[in-house]
Amino acid sequence: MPKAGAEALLDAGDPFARDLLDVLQLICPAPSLVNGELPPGDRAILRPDDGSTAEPGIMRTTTSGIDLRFFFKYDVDPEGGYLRIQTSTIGLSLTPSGRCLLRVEYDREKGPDQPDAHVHVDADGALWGKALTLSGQPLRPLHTLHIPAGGRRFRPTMEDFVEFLLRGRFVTPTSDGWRDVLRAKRREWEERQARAAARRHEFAVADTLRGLGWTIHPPPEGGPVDPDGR
Amino acid sequence: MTRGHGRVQRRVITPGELRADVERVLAEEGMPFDRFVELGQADELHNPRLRDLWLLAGASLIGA
Repeated sequence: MPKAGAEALLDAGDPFARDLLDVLQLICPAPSLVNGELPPGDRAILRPDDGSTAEPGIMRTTTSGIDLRFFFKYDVDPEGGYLRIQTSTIGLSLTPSGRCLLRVEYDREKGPDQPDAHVHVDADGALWGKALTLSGQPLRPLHTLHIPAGGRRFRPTMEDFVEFLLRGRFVTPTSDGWRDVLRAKRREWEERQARAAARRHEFAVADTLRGLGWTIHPPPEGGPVDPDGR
Repeated sequence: MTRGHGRVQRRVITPGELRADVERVLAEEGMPFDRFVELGQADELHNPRLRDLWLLAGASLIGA
């Protein structure tokens, strides 16, 4: 069991875990997650409860032979106490080979040469090979390409992935109400991201609200200065 | 929508446990640990399984 000091960290992850289960139950018959503290104790991970620790977990879907592979590694923002995803991957793989078809990968601390959030397509790509050749590049596997996917704030979510699987009929929904669930969850996500974006871009947000007729007062003297002079 | 489907279990993943699982995967993929760390830090891991392994465990392994 986690020590007392880890409880606050894992407490921060529990609401997100429940949100994940709400979405996963649409395509997985028995979703079960682990909320686990990782060494050195300042971060934790949400993953399928499949007995592994270092690899993304496997979660069976309603369609035999198609699995979800994913994990979310998180910590708590030291400034505001908010849950913050450090790295994550969501992927679709085939059993029994375990070959991954498609992955959405996110790394908050990605270096400047690669996008924070990106898609890897691990499948045959004869046309991609032609594109590489035409652009003078040596041939390389399709899965080595990093396709940008929305950056830190607007990256693809579990809802997007599940919707892709359902609309594409790769898996069978567990209930008829999946569209409403995804719509509601996506709205919650967008609101959380809007709040986070507002914290980062307060002047742009204030400017936008004024344009909509709101009366906005700046913080007391000594607050932040608008770099654009608004 | 009905909540309550599925469960969340809490646990602590120890450094030894994490390292053992990493080494198991590296052995299966035929990659030495030091090479894995070197390529992971340089963002030059292309094997999807090893990329995921680095994303999940890399920072914990090197104490970052």
